[in-house]
Amino acid sequence: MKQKVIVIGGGIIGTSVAYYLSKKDVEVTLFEAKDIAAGTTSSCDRAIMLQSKKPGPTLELALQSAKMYTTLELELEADLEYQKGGGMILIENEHELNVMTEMVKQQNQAGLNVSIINGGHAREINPLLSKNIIASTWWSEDAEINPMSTAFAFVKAAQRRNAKIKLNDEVQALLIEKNRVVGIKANKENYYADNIVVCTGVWTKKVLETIEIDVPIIPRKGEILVTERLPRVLDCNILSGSYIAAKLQKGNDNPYGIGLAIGQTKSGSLLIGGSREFVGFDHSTNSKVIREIAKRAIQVFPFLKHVHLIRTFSGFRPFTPDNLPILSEVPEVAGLFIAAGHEGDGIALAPITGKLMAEMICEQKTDFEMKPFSIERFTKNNC
Amino acid sequence: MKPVNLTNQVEVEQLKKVSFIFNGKCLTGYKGQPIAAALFANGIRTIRYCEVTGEPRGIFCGIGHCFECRATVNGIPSKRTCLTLLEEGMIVSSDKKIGSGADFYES
Amino acid sequence: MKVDVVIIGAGPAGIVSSIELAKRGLKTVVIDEYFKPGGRLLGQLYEDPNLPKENRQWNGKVIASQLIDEAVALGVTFICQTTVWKIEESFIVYITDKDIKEIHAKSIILATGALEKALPVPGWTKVGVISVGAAQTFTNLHNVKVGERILFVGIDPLSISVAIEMKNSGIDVLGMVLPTPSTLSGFKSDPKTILESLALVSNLAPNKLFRFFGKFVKGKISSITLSILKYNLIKINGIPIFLRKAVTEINGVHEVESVTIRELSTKGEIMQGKVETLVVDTVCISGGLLPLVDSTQLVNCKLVDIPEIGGIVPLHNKYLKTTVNGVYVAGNITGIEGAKVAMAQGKLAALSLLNDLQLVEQAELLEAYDLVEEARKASPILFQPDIRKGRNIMQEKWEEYCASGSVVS
Repeated sequence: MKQKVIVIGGGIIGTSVAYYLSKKDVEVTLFEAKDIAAGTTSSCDRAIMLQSKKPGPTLELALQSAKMYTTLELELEADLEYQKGGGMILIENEHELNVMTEMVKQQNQAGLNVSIINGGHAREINPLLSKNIIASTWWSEDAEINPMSTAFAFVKAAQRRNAKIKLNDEVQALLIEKNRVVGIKANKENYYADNIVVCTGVWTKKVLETIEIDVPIIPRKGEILVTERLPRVLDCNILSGSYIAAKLQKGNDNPYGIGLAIGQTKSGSLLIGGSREFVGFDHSTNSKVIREIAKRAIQVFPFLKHVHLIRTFSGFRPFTPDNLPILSEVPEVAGLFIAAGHEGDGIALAPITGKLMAEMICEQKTDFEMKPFSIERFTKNNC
Repeated sequence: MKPVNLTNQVEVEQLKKVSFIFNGKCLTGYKGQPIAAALFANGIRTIRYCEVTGEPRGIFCGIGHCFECRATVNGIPSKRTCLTLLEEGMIVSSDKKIGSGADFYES
Repeated sequence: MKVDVVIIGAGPAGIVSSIELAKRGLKTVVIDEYFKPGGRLLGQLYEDPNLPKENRQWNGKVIASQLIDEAVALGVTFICQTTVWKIEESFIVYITDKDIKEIHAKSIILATGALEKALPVPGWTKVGVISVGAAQTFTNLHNVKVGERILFVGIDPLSISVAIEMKNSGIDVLGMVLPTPSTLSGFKSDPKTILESLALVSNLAPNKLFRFFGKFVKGKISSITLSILKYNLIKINGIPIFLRKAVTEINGVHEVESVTIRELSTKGEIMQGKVETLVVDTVCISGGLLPLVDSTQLVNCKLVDIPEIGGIVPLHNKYLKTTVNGVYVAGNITGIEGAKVAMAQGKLAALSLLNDLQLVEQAELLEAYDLVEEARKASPILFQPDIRKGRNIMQEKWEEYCASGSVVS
């Protein structure tokens, strides 16, 4: 009999896991409580940016993942709005210049060909940048993608390989027998499988609480501003130096964790992020945050002063205490896997996550050292 | 097209005539009337070109809801001409099909 | 800026609310996106047969300016050309004004009015296709001609009164036809329903013939209704009303040059055969109105869908209180009705607010409620034929909501 796997969660991670599983000789069913890409995947930005990542295990995964993205449109037979326009981290003062020089040095050692360019050169790449930008990093390999299109494309490709997709079907319980997961209960019905993969991002804690497994993933809210459609003003992804600081939680003078991240959608709107706050599942947007993000955006792109915002939204990033995702089997419960906790790296890491999880589940071995991503790094410390 | 003769015509006549420029052409209108109304009175109905298709667009709702009548007014893009009031010497130009960013936001 | 009440929308409802509040000493600010207060009153110009003979003309612009003068004299502040972009709890209202960025208020009245429904006939994005509201505003308020040869698409009380106004101002109104039948336009292309709805406006039409038809329709003698439809043509004030014709396409290279017209069966289906092309330079589309409820989402008011009153509206009680403490609604945001009802509702919302603050007696509130009912009875135009039924459904839904335990104090 074929191996049966149930994937819980229809975000970019769950759909990727389902797709790569469907390429193996496995019977896959994906359960989603709402709809495909209804959670974090539809409330984030579109960057696949490697140079914002600190050298280490995440960056290694991201490098592999970025490689997979270059051929993903062909593989999935879908337009994912993939564009390799490069990326810049803008530097506004000497302090930021020192921090970024150090980071770029480390990235160069890790094999990332990022360079630091002066303000003039940055404005040659994008003439709309403010004259106050004294320098910038530049890497031509940074790219972007439409996360929603990607999740839907994963689903369609998985369906072509006979994966079943169940929408509006919230998993109510995990079925456990003798320390082994045997299935799930959804819509008052039991579904049995050999393996269960929990890909529920910020909701993972809630899903696994039911079987008394504690996962330290908490929601970190990010607010994003959306502008009216504009001419093509950005071909690359733009971050501010303060974004890196906010991501690494440094400095208390930034209570909302605001760091600039700007990208342009295919239809012309700019997505201007963002903030990073721990406020539980409060979905509201905050006028102070919106104003501050807008102010900083105008600082780096003065032309934005006269551009209309058409809406703002917030999303929850699945934060883990050590900023690494959990890609792991659960030692206490045989057959149970977790792929969650990517925080702001979920889009960048989606393909490699799907591939690795499929390998772990089907062959129990991977090309990667998975230990840094094991759930045990949290459970062991607790003992 | 001339102003229509209505009971509240009086109000229009009290207004001050001003000149303004639309897409390089010098026109006249009344100070304080919406730019779109001044354009109508000059027989001009095409105010903008769709940023995606380049098709001409003009007034649709007339009260600020639909955003079809946007134009660049004194260098500020995307002003609704149905809500923006005419002043002496205003420079108005059609917002156009999306081209390169540099064309739009010079200076 | 600190005030007692922020009113969003300076139309008939909002202005009347502000007057009532200011009379009782509350500091009140009215915010509007338009460049002057008055809302849809500014474009209204028609004769109301329910008024005494010597005083039949309803000139909204004059009425608006009287109301505004009264409000300003009482100390009400109007902030125009300004958008409310966010409201935060109890209450900070954020606006787009250059100087005043936020207004702190104890209560809020949402009086944002209505939005015109789109009616997507092929070619409707061409220059020269305008909404009936735009036609009214540019003709009656801005006093400019929107075109020389106009055809109206969509036959309803509002479009008929605007067509009459435009004809009176010297524009060649070629007639009124129906939109292409489609799922989007829905009942709008069913001649029988249209004819019945016209009965609601027949009192307004000075044309005897039309009044005659109106009577029959009111009696709901459907066979006679249908025989009227056989004639295909009714005229109101000299404007031909084609109940059996529909525009299937609006043509033109850069701007509107002509329309394609086809005949409809009595059931509203497109008939095979004759296709007409009519040369026009302007098409005026009337798709009806929808309550403009965006602002309710800034304060998280609960919404309900009641087609009888015009669609999705904020849940409210008979005294116009919403599910959010301190937030009231008045005017078309509560359902599509005429300006007089909106004005009476403006007063009721204000008194409801004042009553909650114990600044007026219950009796005054009840009196204001009765005035809304009277205004409704005296309305020359019923935009929603089942408005009363809709209002009752709203009351039932409110009671259900209260019974469910999520009561507003």
